Amino acid sequence: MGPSAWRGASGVPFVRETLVVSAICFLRQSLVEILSRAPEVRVTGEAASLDRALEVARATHPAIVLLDAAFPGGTQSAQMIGAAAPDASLIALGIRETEQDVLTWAEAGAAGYVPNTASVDDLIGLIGQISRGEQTCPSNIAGSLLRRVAASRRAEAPAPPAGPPLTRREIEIIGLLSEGLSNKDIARRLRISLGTTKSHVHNLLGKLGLPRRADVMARMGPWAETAPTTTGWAARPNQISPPPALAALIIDPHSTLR
Amino acid sequence: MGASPFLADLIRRVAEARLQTAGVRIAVVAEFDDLEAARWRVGELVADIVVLGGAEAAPTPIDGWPAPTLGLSADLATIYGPGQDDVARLTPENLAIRLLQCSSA
Repeated sequence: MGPSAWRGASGVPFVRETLVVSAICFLRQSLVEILSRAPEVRVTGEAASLDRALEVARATHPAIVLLDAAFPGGTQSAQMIGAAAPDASLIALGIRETEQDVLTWAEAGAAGYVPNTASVDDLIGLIGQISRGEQTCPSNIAGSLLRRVAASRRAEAPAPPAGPPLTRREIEIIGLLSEGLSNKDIARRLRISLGTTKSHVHNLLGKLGLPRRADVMARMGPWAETAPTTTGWAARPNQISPPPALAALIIDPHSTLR
Repeated sequence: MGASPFLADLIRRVAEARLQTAGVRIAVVAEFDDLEAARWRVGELVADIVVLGGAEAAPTPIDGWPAPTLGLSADLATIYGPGQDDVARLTPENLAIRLLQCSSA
C-alpha cells in the first residue's frame, strides 16, 4: 500500500474526495493534515458533530466518508451520514478488528474499515482499496462475513430448484458462472485445468437440463448468487519503523488512547 | 495503547512535520497499554520523552525513567505537561510545541 496515485480504468490517476468525521479535535486535525499531503486524497470537508457531518455530506457529495468509529452515536450516526451521502463509501476508522465489530459496522453500511492497529500509511492505502470495493481482513472475519451474508440470503431466497444432486464443485461453478466468468477464468480461480472446468460445466448444464451457460442464472434464480465462490484475502504487510532520533515512548495504562 | 499503533503513528507524523523545521526528528520507540509492562522495560528502552495516556493531570515521571513526561487525557481533548501547571487543548500544534520543549530540556 504505497503512496503512488491510484489509477482508474483509463490509467489516469484520480483522487478521492474525502470527508473526515471525528468529534476528537486532535484526531480530526491530524487526519486532515496528513491526508491533505497524500496525492490520492482530497479532503473536501471535516466535521466534529453529526449535524455538521450531514450538512457537509449533502453539500460536497464526497466519494469517501472517513468516520471515526468512536464518533458519538456510532453506527446510527454512520447510517444517517450514509443516507446523506448515498454515493459515498463510508469507511469506519479505528475499529477493533473483531468479528462482532466488523459485522456491526458492515451492517450499518460501512463499505470498509481501518482497524485500530493500522498505520497511517495503511490508512491511505486502505482508502484506495476500499474505494475500489476491496477490503483486507483476517480470514476468520472474512469467513464470518460470508456466513452472515449466506445465512441472510438463505432466509430470503427460495429453495434451490429440485433436480439431480450437484457436487460441491458444481455449486462453486454456479457461483462463478453467475459472476459471468469464462471457463478459462473459472479454471484459474479454482486452480484446475481448463479441460476439467469444461467437464464440470458440461455436467452441470446436463444436470440442470440447460443448453447454455447463460441460462444458469435464469434457471437457478437468486439461489445462484448465494453459491459459494473462492475469494482471496490479502495479508497485511508488516510495519517497519525508522530508526529513532528523538525517541518517544507512549504508554496508556488505561487503554484509553485510541 | 488500546489502539495505539495508529495513534502513535499519528502523533509521530504530525509532530515530525513540525519538528523538522527545528532540526529534530522523532520516532516512537515503543507503545504499551500497561504501565507495569512499561516499568519492566525501563532498563531496555531509551526514551527521551514519555507520553502517557489516560492522564487527568500533569503526570509524574515514571520511576527510573528520567525523561520528561506528557499526559494526554482519555478523551484526547487535553494535553498536560511537561510542567506541573501546563494544560492545553490537545491539537497537533500544541503537541509539537510541547515535544519541542521536552527535546530542548
